[in-house]
Amino acid sequence: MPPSLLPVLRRLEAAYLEATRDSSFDVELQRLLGRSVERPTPLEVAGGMTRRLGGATIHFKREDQDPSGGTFINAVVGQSLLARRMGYRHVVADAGSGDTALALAEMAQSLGLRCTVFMTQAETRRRTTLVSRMHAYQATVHAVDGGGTLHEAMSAAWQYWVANSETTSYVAGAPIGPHPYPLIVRDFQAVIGREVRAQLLERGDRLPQAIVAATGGVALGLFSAFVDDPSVRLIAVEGGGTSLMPGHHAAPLTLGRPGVLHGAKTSVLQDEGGQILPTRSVASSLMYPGAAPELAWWRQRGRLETWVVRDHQAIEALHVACEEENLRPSLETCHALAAGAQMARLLPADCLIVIPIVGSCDGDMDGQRPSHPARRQVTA
Amino acid sequence: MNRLAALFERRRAKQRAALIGYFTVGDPGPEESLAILFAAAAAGIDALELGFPFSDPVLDGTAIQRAHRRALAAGASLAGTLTMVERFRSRVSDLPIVLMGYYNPVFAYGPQRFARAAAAAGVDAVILADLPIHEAAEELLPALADNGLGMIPLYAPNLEPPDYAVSAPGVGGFLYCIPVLGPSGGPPVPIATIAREVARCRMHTRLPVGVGFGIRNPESAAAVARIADGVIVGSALVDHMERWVAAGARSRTALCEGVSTFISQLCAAVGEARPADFEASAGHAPRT
Repeated sequence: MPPSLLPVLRRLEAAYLEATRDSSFDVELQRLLGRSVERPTPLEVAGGMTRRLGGATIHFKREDQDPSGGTFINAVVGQSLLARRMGYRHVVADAGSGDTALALAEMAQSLGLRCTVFMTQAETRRRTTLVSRMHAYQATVHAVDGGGTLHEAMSAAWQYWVANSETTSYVAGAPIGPHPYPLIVRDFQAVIGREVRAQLLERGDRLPQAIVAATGGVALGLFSAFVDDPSVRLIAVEGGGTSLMPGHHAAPLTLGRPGVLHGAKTSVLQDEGGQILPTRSVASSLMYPGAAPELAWWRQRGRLETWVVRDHQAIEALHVACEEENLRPSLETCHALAAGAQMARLLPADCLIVIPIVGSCDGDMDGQRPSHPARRQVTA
Repeated sequence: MNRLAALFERRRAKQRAALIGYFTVGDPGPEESLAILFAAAAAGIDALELGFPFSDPVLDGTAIQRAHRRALAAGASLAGTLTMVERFRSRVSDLPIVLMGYYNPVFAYGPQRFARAAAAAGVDAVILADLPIHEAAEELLPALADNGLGMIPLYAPNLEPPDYAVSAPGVGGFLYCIPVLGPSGGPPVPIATIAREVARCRMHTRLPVGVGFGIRNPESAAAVARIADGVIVGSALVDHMERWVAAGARSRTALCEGVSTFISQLCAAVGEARPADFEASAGHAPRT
C-alpha cells in the first residue's frame, strides 16, 4: 500500500473502532439496512434440490431479497455511514461486479454524499442498465480504459482516492485490500452468520455439517459465526474458469502463492517472477487474483476447505436452481450451488448444508453472446 | 549506497542539485532500453532510477502504467532488470542506480536473495512504492543493510515524521519527496508548494531531499533544483518511448538521440540553477 494511505487507514481504523462502541451508530445502521432489506433474511429448506439430490438437506440463506443485488449491501451501508460520520463528503469505489457500486450510489445519495465509480470501459458497455441506474442516483461513473492493465478499475479508484483522500473515502465491496478494510467488510457482513446460527437453533436444528459459499464478503461474514465450531465444515468455493491453467481461472485461495497485492499479504495468483496473473471466471465478481486475507489465514490453519468450480459447472447449477427452486441467483452463487450439490449427494439425509443465495444472474447475463449456452437455455 | 552518498556530496560541494532520470527497464524492448541507459549516462544524467516492471502499478499514472505494460510484453522481469543493471555496470561503474518498483516481485524473489543479487549487480538503493518503511523492517531492511544497500523512504504531505524520517540500518540514499497526493505523471506543482514540502522534509531528516512528480521540462527542473538536492524526472522521459512506439518504432538511434537531447537540456537547466536563485523565484509557479 502506498505510504500516503497510512494516515488515511489509521484514521479509518480509529473511527471504525469508535463507531462500533457507539450504540447510536448501530441504531442508524440497522435503520438504513432495514429500508433496503428486511432482516433477518429467510433461511429456507431448498426442497426441490434436496429431493433431486437425495442426500443432505440443503438450506438457503436468502441474501437476494433486496432490489440492489444484496451481495454487498451490508458492507456498503456500513461503510457509507462511517464515511459520513468521519466527515467525508464523497465516496469512491470500483465496480468489480457492478452491484457494489450500484448499492453505493443509492446509499450515497440518501446520505447526501457524492459518489464516484470507476468501471472498465468494457463493463460500462456491457452493463448499460446498471450504468443508467447509477446515473439516476447522481453517481459519476468513469469508464477506465487501461488498455489491458490488470484490475484497472481498482487502480483508477485507488489513484483517485490517494489524490483526494482528504475529502473522499474508499468503499470496499469485498474483504480485500489493506487493513482495516477486510475487517470492516467482515464485521458488517457478520450479521448473516449470526442470523443463520440463531435461525437454526430457534427451530431446534443442530449446527450444519457444512456451510458452502463462494469466496468473498458474504462467505466471510457467514463463516465468522461458525469458525469456532470445529464440527462445521467451512467450504469456500472459487471460480475454476475454463481450466486450471494459469490465467484461466480465479482460484487464488486454492492455487495462489503467498504475495502482497493492494496492501494485503495473502494468497495471490502470480507467476514465478511475482507478476499478477489474469483471472477468468463466468462470474465477474470472483475475478480478483488475491484471496481475502482472513480466508487465506483460515485455510493455512486447516480450518477452511476450498473447492474449485468451473464455469460450465456453475452454469449447470444455474439451470438446476431455475428448475427446482425457481431461482435465478448470481453466477457467483451458482459456484456455491454446484459445490453444495456435490457435497449433499455424499451426505445422509439427516445432515444439513447451508448455502447463501446472493444477487441475481441478470448482471452476469448482460451482454453475453447469444450463443452462450446459459443465455440460450435461461431465456428459452 | 556509497555511489549515491558520494554523488550528493559532490553535488553539494558544487552547490548544484543532482538530476535523476526514471526509466522502466525493458521499455520499449530490452535492447532499446539498454541503449537508452547508455545514452542517458553519456548525456550527463547524475543517477538512474530504474523501474522494474509490475503487472499492477497502482500508484503510477497512465504513462508509466503503459511503460510497465510495454516492458512486460517485451519479456521484462525483476530478474531481467538485474541482468540489465549488470550489463550496464560492465561499461559504466560510477553512476548511482536506484531500483524502483512494487513489492510483490521482490517478495516472490525472496528479500534476502534479492538484496544479494541487487548488490552484486551494482544497485545502490531501492524504492518500493507500495511498501511503507515500517513494513520492511522485519525482513527487507536487514537484508539491504547486510548488502550495503538502502531503502529510500517516501515522503507525502499527509505523513507524520515517524512514517518517513526513519533512521535505521538499511534506510538511506535520499528522502523522496512527493509534494502532492496523487499518481505520477500529474500536472505541474506550484513551486511554492514544493518549497514548503521540501522545508518540512528538511526539518525531520538529514538525508538529501529529492523531489519527483510533475517535473516535465527544463524550466520546472531548474526551479526544483534551486530548492532540492535531487530532481527526479519520470513521466516526461517515459513519454519519449511512447512517442517512438507510436511513430512506428523507427531507428534505435533516433530514440536515443531524442532522450539524449532532452536530458542534456535538463542537465543544463539543473546545472545553471543555484540555490541562491531561489529567493527570486519563491512564490511563483514554474514557467511552464
